[in-house]
Amino acid sequence: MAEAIDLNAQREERGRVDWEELDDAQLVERYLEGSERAFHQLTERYHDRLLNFIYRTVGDRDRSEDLVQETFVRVYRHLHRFDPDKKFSTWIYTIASNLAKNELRNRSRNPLVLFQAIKKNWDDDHRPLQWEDESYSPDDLYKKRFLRETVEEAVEELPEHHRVVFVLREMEGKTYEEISEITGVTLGTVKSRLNRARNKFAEIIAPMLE
Amino acid sequence: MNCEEFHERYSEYRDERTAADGLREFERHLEECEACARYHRVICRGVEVFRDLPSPSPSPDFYDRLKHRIYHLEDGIPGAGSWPTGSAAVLAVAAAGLLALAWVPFVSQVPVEVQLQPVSVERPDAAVERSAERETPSLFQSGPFLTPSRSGDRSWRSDGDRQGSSLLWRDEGSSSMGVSTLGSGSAGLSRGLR
Repeated sequence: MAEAIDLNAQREERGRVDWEELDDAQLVERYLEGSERAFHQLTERYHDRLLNFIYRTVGDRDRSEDLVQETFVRVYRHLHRFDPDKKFSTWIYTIASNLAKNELRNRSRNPLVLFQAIKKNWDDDHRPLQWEDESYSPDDLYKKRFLRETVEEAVEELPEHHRVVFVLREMEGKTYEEISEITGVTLGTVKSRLNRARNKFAEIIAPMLE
Repeated sequence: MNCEEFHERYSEYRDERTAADGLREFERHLEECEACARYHRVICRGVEVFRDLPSPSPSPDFYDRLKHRIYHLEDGIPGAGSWPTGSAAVLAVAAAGLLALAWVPFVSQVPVEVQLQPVSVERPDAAVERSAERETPSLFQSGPFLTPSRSGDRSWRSDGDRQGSSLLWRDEGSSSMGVSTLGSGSAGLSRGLR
Protein backbone atom coordinates (compact mmCIF):
# COMPACT_ATOMS: atom_id res chain seq x y z
CA MET A 1 0.00 0.00 0.00
CA ALA A 2 2.87 2.34 0.83
CA GLU A 3 4.32 1.62 -2.58
CA ALA A 4 1.02 2.42 -4.20
CA ILE A 5 0.85 5.75 -2.36
CA ASP A 6 4.40 6.60 -3.37
CA LEU A 7 3.50 5.83 -6.93
CA ASN A 8 0.41 8.00 -6.71
CA ALA A 9 2.39 10.84 -5.14
CA GLN A 10 4.82 10.74 -8.01
CA ARG A 11 1.99 10.77 -10.50
CA GLU A 12 0.30 13.63 -8.68
CA GLU A 13 3.50 15.62 -8.85
CA ARG A 14 3.45 15.24 -12.57
CA GLY A 15 -0.15 16.47 -12.51
CA ARG A 16 -1.57 13.22 -13.80
CA VAL A 17 -3.25 11.70 -10.76
CA ASP A 18 -6.23 9.62 -11.69
CA TRP A 19 -8.25 10.20 -8.55
CA GLU A 20 -10.84 7.68 -9.60
CA GLU A 21 -8.22 4.96 -9.49
CA LEU A 22 -7.38 5.60 -5.84
CA ASP A 23 -9.28 3.46 -3.37
CA ASP A 24 -11.02 4.90 -0.33
CA ALA A 25 -8.13 4.24 2.03
CA GLN A 26 -5.72 6.03 -0.29
CA LEU A 27 -8.06 9.00 -0.61
CA VAL A 28 -8.43 9.20 3.17
CA GLU A 29 -4.66 9.17 3.52
CA ARG A 30 -4.27 11.87 0.89
CA TYR A 31 -6.89 13.99 2.62
CA LEU A 32 -5.14 13.65 5.97
CA GLU A 33 -1.96 14.79 4.24
CA GLY A 34 -3.80 17.95 3.26
CA SER A 35 -5.32 17.23 -0.12
CA GLU A 36 -8.76 18.82 -0.39
CA ARG A 37 -9.11 17.19 -3.80
CA ALA A 38 -9.11 13.80 -2.08
CA PHE A 39 -12.08 14.82 0.05
CA HIS A 40 -13.90 16.08 -3.03
CA GLN A 41 -13.28 12.72 -4.68
CA LEU A 42 -14.78 10.92 -1.68
CA THR A 43 -17.91 13.08 -1.83
CA GLU A 44 -18.24 12.41 -5.55
CA ARG A 45 -17.87 8.71 -4.94
CA TYR A 46 -20.48 8.49 -2.21
CA HIS A 47 -23.07 11.21 -2.64
CA ASP A 48 -25.33 9.27 -5.03
CA ARG A 49 -25.17 6.09 -3.02
CA LEU A 50 -25.78 7.85 0.26
CA LEU A 51 -28.61 9.92 -1.15
CA ASN A 52 -30.31 6.79 -2.47
CA PHE A 53 -29.79 4.92 0.80
CA ILE A 54 -31.08 7.75 2.98
CA TYR A 55 -33.93 8.49 0.61
CA ARG A 56 -35.05 4.86 0.66
CA THR A 57 -34.88 4.90 4.44
CA VAL A 58 -36.34 8.33 5.18
CA GLY A 59 -38.50 9.04 2.15
CA ASP A 60 -38.15 12.82 1.97
CA ARG A 61 -35.90 13.78 -0.91
CA ASP A 62 -34.93 17.27 0.24
CA ARG A 63 -34.38 16.15 3.79
CA SER A 64 -32.33 13.22 2.50
CA GLU A 65 -30.05 15.64 0.68
CA ASP A 66 -29.61 17.67 3.86
CA LEU A 67 -28.69 14.50 5.69
CA VAL A 68 -26.16 13.55 3.03
CA GLN A 69 -24.60 16.97 3.44
CA GLU A 70 -24.52 16.51 7.18
CA THR A 71 -22.86 13.12 6.67
CA PHE A 72 -20.07 14.70 4.62
CA VAL A 73 -19.63 17.53 7.10
CA ARG A 74 -19.19 14.98 9.88
CA VAL A 75 -16.76 13.00 7.78
CA TYR A 76 -14.78 16.20 7.12
CA ARG A 77 -14.65 17.06 10.80
CA HIS A 78 -13.86 13.62 12.14
CA LEU A 79 -11.83 11.94 9.43
CA HIS A 80 -8.69 12.32 11.52
CA ARG A 81 -10.35 9.98 14.04
CA PHE A 82 -11.17 7.34 11.44
CA ASP A 83 -9.42 4.04 12.07
CA PRO A 84 -7.57 3.26 8.81
CA ASP A 85 -7.80 -0.46 9.57
CA LYS A 86 -11.57 -0.23 9.12
CA LYS A 87 -13.48 0.13 5.89
CA PHE A 88 -14.29 3.72 5.01
CA SER A 89 -17.57 2.80 3.30
CA THR A 90 -18.81 1.10 6.47
CA TRP A 91 -17.88 4.13 8.52
CA ILE A 92 -19.63 6.63 6.26
CA TYR A 93 -22.74 4.42 6.03
CA THR A 94 -22.79 4.20 9.83
CA ILE A 95 -22.87 7.99 10.05
CA ALA A 96 -25.59 8.20 7.39
CA SER A 97 -27.62 5.43 9.00
CA ASN A 98 -27.51 7.11 12.41
CA LEU A 99 -28.61 10.40 10.91
CA ALA A 100 -31.47 8.66 9.10
CA LYS A 101 -32.54 6.90 12.30
CA ASN A 102 -32.51 10.19 14.21
CA GLU A 103 -34.57 11.77 11.47
CA LEU A 104 -37.19 9.02 11.67
CA ARG A 105 -37.22 9.23 15.46
CA ASN A 106 -37.75 12.98 15.36
CA ARG A 107 -40.41 12.59 12.73
CA SER A 108 -42.30 10.03 14.77
CA ARG A 109 -42.69 12.74 17.39
CA ASN A 110 -44.25 14.98 14.77
CA PRO A 111 -47.18 13.13 13.23
CA LEU A 112 -47.84 15.91 10.73
CA VAL A 113 -44.98 14.74 8.55
CA LEU A 114 -46.08 11.75 6.59
CA PHE A 115 -43.60 9.58 4.81
CA GLN A 116 -45.75 8.67 1.86
CA ALA A 117 -47.13 12.15 1.26
CA ILE A 118 -43.64 13.59 0.99
CA LYS A 119 -42.33 10.80 -1.15
CA LYS A 120 -45.28 10.79 -3.53
CA ASN A 121 -44.87 14.49 -4.19
CA TRP A 122 -41.27 14.04 -5.12
CA ASP A 123 -42.07 11.08 -7.34
CA ASP A 124 -44.74 13.01 -9.21
CA ASP A 125 -42.40 15.95 -9.76
CA HIS A 126 -39.25 14.05 -10.61
CA ARG A 127 -40.34 10.94 -12.42
CA PRO A 128 -38.30 10.84 -15.64
CA LEU A 129 -40.12 11.02 -18.94
CA GLN A 130 -40.93 7.55 -20.16
CA TRP A 131 -41.02 6.97 -23.90
CA GLU A 132 -43.47 4.46 -25.12
CA ASP A 133 -41.98 1.02 -25.32
CA GLU A 134 -43.55 -0.76 -28.29
CA SER A 135 -42.57 -4.15 -26.94
CA TYR A 136 -45.10 -3.71 -24.16
CA SER A 137 -48.83 -3.40 -24.52
CA PRO A 138 -50.55 -0.58 -22.59
CA ASP A 139 -51.70 -3.20 -20.17
CA ASP A 140 -48.12 -4.34 -19.63
CA LEU A 141 -46.93 -0.77 -19.14
CA TYR A 142 -49.65 -0.18 -16.60
CA LYS A 143 -48.72 -3.37 -14.79
CA LYS A 144 -45.05 -2.45 -14.83
CA ARG A 145 -45.70 0.96 -13.38
CA PHE A 146 -48.09 -0.41 -10.81
CA LEU A 147 -45.58 -3.08 -9.81
CA ARG A 148 -42.93 -0.43 -9.29
CA GLU A 149 -45.22 1.60 -7.08
CA THR A 150 -46.19 -1.49 -5.13
CA VAL A 151 -42.56 -2.46 -4.59
CA GLU A 152 -41.75 1.05 -3.38
CA GLU A 153 -44.69 1.03 -1.02
CA ALA A 154 -43.78 -2.45 0.22
CA VAL A 155 -40.34 -1.20 1.26
CA GLU A 156 -41.89 1.87 2.89
CA GLU A 157 -44.25 -0.32 4.86
CA LEU A 158 -41.42 -2.26 6.46
CA PRO A 159 -40.66 -1.31 10.07
CA GLU A 160 -37.75 1.12 10.18
CA HIS A 161 -35.15 -1.29 11.60
CA HIS A 162 -36.15 -3.94 9.04
CA ARG A 163 -36.16 -1.41 6.22
CA VAL A 164 -32.61 -0.21 6.95
CA VAL A 165 -31.28 -3.76 6.89
CA PHE A 166 -33.25 -4.61 3.74
CA VAL A 167 -32.02 -1.52 1.86
CA LEU A 168 -28.41 -2.04 2.96
CA ARG A 169 -28.50 -5.64 1.76
CA GLU A 170 -30.64 -5.54 -1.35
CA MET A 171 -29.93 -2.04 -2.64
CA GLU A 172 -26.41 -1.40 -1.40
CA GLY A 173 -25.16 -4.98 -1.44
CA LYS A 174 -23.59 -4.81 2.02
CA THR A 175 -22.46 -8.00 3.72
CA TYR A 176 -24.02 -9.17 6.98
CA GLU A 177 -20.86 -8.13 8.82
CA GLU A 178 -20.99 -4.63 7.36
CA ILE A 179 -24.69 -4.29 8.14
CA SER A 180 -24.01 -5.47 11.68
CA GLU A 181 -21.34 -2.79 12.07
CA ILE A 182 -23.40 -0.05 10.43
CA THR A 183 -26.54 -0.71 12.45
CA GLY A 184 -24.80 -1.73 15.65
CA VAL A 185 -26.67 -5.03 16.05
CA THR A 186 -25.43 -8.63 16.12
CA LEU A 187 -25.11 -10.83 13.06
CA GLY A 188 -27.98 -12.96 14.31
CA THR A 189 -30.21 -9.90 14.54
CA VAL A 190 -29.22 -8.82 11.04
CA LYS A 191 -30.14 -12.24 9.69
CA SER A 192 -33.42 -12.33 11.57
CA ARG A 193 -34.43 -8.81 10.52
CA LEU A 194 -33.52 -9.48 6.93
CA ASN A 195 -35.59 -12.66 6.88
CA ARG A 196 -38.62 -10.90 8.34
CA ALA A 197 -38.21 -7.99 5.95
CA ARG A 198 -38.13 -10.37 2.98
CA ASN A 199 -41.17 -12.26 4.17
CA LYS A 200 -43.16 -9.06 4.57
CA PHE A 201 -41.92 -7.73 1.24
CA ALA A 202 -42.91 -10.93 -0.57
CA GLU A 203 -46.30 -10.94 1.13
CA ILE A 204 -47.09 -7.44 -0.17
CA ILE A 205 -45.91 -7.79 -3.75
CA ALA A 206 -46.87 -11.42 -4.40
CA PRO A 207 -50.41 -10.58 -5.64
CA MET A 208 -48.83 -8.30 -8.25
CA LEU A 209 -46.70 -11.11 -9.61
CA GLU A 210 -49.38 -13.74 -10.11
CA MET B 1 -35.95 -29.83 4.32
CA ASN B 2 -39.57 -28.81 4.89
CA CYS B 3 -41.25 -25.49 4.03
CA GLU B 4 -40.94 -24.06 7.56
CA GLU B 5 -37.23 -24.71 7.62
CA PHE B 6 -36.91 -23.28 4.13
CA HIS B 7 -38.50 -19.96 5.17
CA GLU B 8 -36.55 -19.76 8.41
CA ARG B 9 -33.24 -20.23 6.64
CA TYR B 10 -34.09 -18.64 3.32
CA SER B 11 -31.67 -15.71 3.76
CA GLU B 12 -28.78 -18.16 4.12
CA TYR B 13 -29.62 -19.51 0.70
CA ARG B 14 -30.29 -16.19 -0.99
CA ASP B 15 -27.17 -14.56 0.41
CA GLU B 16 -25.03 -17.64 -0.19
CA ARG B 17 -24.16 -18.10 3.44
CA THR B 18 -24.55 -21.83 3.47
CA ALA B 19 -22.14 -24.65 2.70
CA ALA B 20 -22.38 -26.65 -0.50
CA ASP B 21 -24.40 -29.40 1.22
CA GLY B 22 -26.90 -26.90 2.52
CA LEU B 23 -27.16 -25.30 -0.88
CA ARG B 24 -28.09 -28.62 -2.48
CA GLU B 25 -30.76 -29.14 0.18
CA PHE B 26 -32.37 -25.80 -0.68
CA GLU B 27 -32.28 -26.51 -4.39
CA ARG B 28 -33.84 -29.92 -3.91
CA HIS B 29 -36.66 -28.39 -1.90
CA LEU B 30 -37.26 -25.71 -4.53
CA GLU B 31 -37.64 -28.39 -7.18
CA GLU B 32 -40.15 -30.28 -5.05
CA CYS B 33 -42.21 -27.43 -3.56
CA GLU B 34 -44.00 -25.05 -5.92
CA ALA B 35 -45.08 -22.68 -3.10
CA CYS B 36 -41.50 -22.13 -1.91
CA ALA B 37 -40.30 -21.87 -5.50
CA ARG B 38 -42.85 -19.14 -6.07
CA TYR B 39 -41.77 -17.36 -2.88
CA HIS B 40 -38.21 -17.37 -4.20
CA ARG B 41 -39.31 -16.00 -7.59
CA VAL B 42 -41.32 -13.21 -5.95
CA ILE B 43 -38.34 -12.13 -3.86
CA CYS B 44 -35.99 -12.19 -6.86
CA ARG B 45 -38.35 -10.26 -9.13
CA GLY B 46 -39.35 -7.78 -6.42
CA VAL B 47 -35.75 -6.96 -5.54
CA GLU B 48 -34.95 -6.59 -9.22
CA VAL B 49 -37.71 -3.98 -9.54
CA PHE B 50 -36.57 -2.31 -6.32
CA ARG B 51 -33.01 -1.96 -7.63
CA ASP B 52 -34.31 -0.45 -10.87
CA LEU B 53 -36.28 2.28 -9.14
CA PRO B 54 -35.07 5.73 -10.20
CA SER B 55 -32.48 7.14 -7.83
CA PRO B 56 -32.75 10.73 -6.74
CA SER B 57 -29.96 12.96 -8.00
CA PRO B 58 -28.32 15.64 -5.90
CA SER B 59 -29.55 19.14 -6.65
CA PRO B 60 -27.28 21.30 -8.85
CA ASP B 61 -26.13 23.40 -5.90
CA PHE B 62 -25.30 20.40 -3.74
CA TYR B 63 -21.53 20.89 -3.91
CA ASP B 64 -21.72 24.65 -3.55
CA ARG B 65 -23.76 24.28 -0.38
CA LEU B 66 -21.45 21.60 0.94
CA LYS B 67 -18.38 23.74 0.20
CA HIS B 68 -20.03 26.69 1.90
CA ARG B 69 -20.79 24.64 5.00
CA ILE B 70 -17.28 23.23 5.17
CA TYR B 71 -15.73 26.66 4.55
CA HIS B 72 -17.57 28.03 7.55
CA LEU B 73 -16.92 25.00 9.72
CA GLU B 74 -13.94 26.60 11.41
CA ASP B 75 -16.14 29.46 12.56
CA GLY B 76 -17.87 27.04 14.88
CA ILE B 77 -14.71 25.62 16.42
CA PRO B 78 -14.02 27.11 19.87
CA GLY B 79 -10.87 29.17 19.85
CA ALA B 80 -10.85 29.57 16.08
CA GLY B 81 -13.58 32.14 15.75
CA SER B 82 -17.05 32.57 17.04
CA TRP B 83 -18.41 30.54 19.90
CA PRO B 84 -21.98 29.56 20.29
CA THR B 85 -24.11 32.66 20.72
CA GLY B 86 -25.14 31.99 24.32
CA SER B 87 -21.58 31.39 25.48
CA ALA B 88 -20.36 34.49 23.67
CA ALA B 89 -22.91 36.66 25.43
CA VAL B 90 -22.04 35.25 28.85
CA LEU B 91 -18.33 35.69 28.19
CA ALA B 92 -18.80 39.27 27.00
CA VAL B 93 -20.76 40.19 30.13
CA ALA B 94 -18.19 38.51 32.37
CA ALA B 95 -15.32 40.28 30.63
CA ALA B 96 -17.06 43.65 30.93
CA GLY B 97 -17.66 43.03 34.64
CA LEU B 98 -14.03 42.15 35.27
CA LEU B 99 -12.87 45.21 33.37
CA ALA B 100 -15.16 47.44 35.38
CA LEU B 101 -13.91 45.93 38.65
CA ALA B 102 -10.32 46.42 37.57
CA TRP B 103 -11.00 50.11 36.91
CA VAL B 104 -12.77 50.84 40.20
CA PRO B 105 -9.60 51.72 42.23
CA PHE B 106 -8.35 54.01 39.50
CA VAL B 107 -11.68 55.70 39.07
CA SER B 108 -12.07 56.36 42.79
CA GLN B 109 -8.52 57.74 43.16
CA VAL B 110 -8.37 60.13 40.26
CA PRO B 111 -6.42 63.13 41.59
CA VAL B 112 -8.41 66.32 41.79
CA GLU B 113 -6.59 69.12 40.10
CA VAL B 114 -7.02 72.32 42.06
CA GLN B 115 -6.66 75.35 39.90
CA LEU B 116 -5.89 78.36 42.05
CA GLN B 117 -5.67 81.80 40.65
CA PRO B 118 -2.18 83.27 40.88
CA VAL B 119 -1.99 86.13 43.34
CA SER B 120 0.65 88.80 43.25
CA VAL B 121 1.82 89.87 46.63
CA GLU B 122 3.90 92.89 47.27
CA ARG B 123 6.67 92.53 49.80
CA PRO B 124 5.99 94.83 52.79
CA ASP B 125 8.54 97.29 54.06
CA ALA B 126 11.03 95.92 56.59
CA ALA B 127 9.71 98.12 59.41
CA VAL B 128 6.14 97.17 58.73
CA GLU B 129 7.20 93.58 58.51
CA ARG B 130 8.87 93.63 61.91
CA SER B 131 5.87 95.38 63.42
CA ALA B 132 3.62 92.87 61.86
CA GLU B 133 5.68 90.09 63.31
CA ARG B 134 5.14 91.44 66.79
CA GLU B 135 1.40 91.93 66.27
CA THR B 136 0.62 88.87 64.30
CA PRO B 137 -1.79 86.55 66.08
CA SER B 138 -0.53 83.04 66.79
CA LEU B 139 -2.70 81.68 64.07
CA PHE B 140 -0.58 83.52 61.55
CA GLN B 141 2.76 82.46 62.95
CA SER B 142 5.19 82.21 60.14
CA GLY B 143 5.91 78.76 58.86
CA PRO B 144 8.39 77.30 56.45
CA PHE B 145 8.03 78.34 52.85
CA LEU B 146 7.58 75.33 50.67
CA THR B 147 8.85 75.16 47.15
CA PRO B 148 9.68 72.19 44.89
CA SER B 149 13.30 71.14 44.98
CA ARG B 150 13.39 70.93 41.21
CA SER B 151 11.09 71.24 38.26
CA GLY B 152 8.32 68.65 38.27
CA ASP B 153 9.55 67.15 41.52
CA ARG B 154 6.87 66.61 44.06
CA SER B 155 9.22 66.45 47.06
CA TRP B 156 9.16 69.71 48.85
CA ARG B 157 11.87 71.62 50.66
CA SER B 158 11.70 74.28 53.27
CA ASP B 159 12.67 77.80 52.37
CA GLY B 160 13.40 79.64 55.57
CA ASP B 161 13.95 82.94 53.85
CA ARG B 162 10.43 83.18 52.70
CA GLN B 163 7.90 83.82 55.41
CA GLY B 164 4.41 85.07 55.16
CA SER B 165 0.98 84.97 56.49
CA SER B 166 -0.12 82.58 53.81
CA LEU B 167 1.09 79.26 52.66
CA LEU B 168 2.60 80.01 49.30
CA TRP B 169 3.46 77.26 46.86
CA ARG B 170 4.88 77.38 43.45
CA ASP B 171 5.11 74.83 40.71
CA GLU B 172 8.31 75.66 38.94
CA GLY B 173 7.37 73.51 36.02
CA SER B 174 4.41 75.65 35.16
CA SER B 175 5.78 79.01 36.37
CA SER B 176 2.47 79.77 38.00
CA MET B 177 2.15 80.51 41.63
CA GLY B 178 -0.64 79.79 43.94
CA VAL B 179 -1.54 80.92 47.39
CA SER B 180 -3.98 79.56 49.78
CA THR B 181 -4.97 80.09 53.31
CA LEU B 182 -3.58 77.61 55.75
CA GLY B 183 -6.84 75.72 56.17
CA SER B 184 -7.85 75.32 52.60
CA GLY B 185 -4.26 75.38 51.39
CA SER B 186 -3.26 72.30 53.30
CA ALA B 187 -6.17 70.41 51.85
CA GLY B 188 -5.39 71.68 48.40
CA LEU B 189 -1.76 70.85 48.82
CA SER B 190 -2.45 67.34 49.97
CA ARG B 191 -4.73 66.79 47.03
CA GLY B 192 -2.29 68.33 44.60
CA LEU B 193 0.52 66.09 45.80
CA ARG B 194 -1.21 62.98 44.73
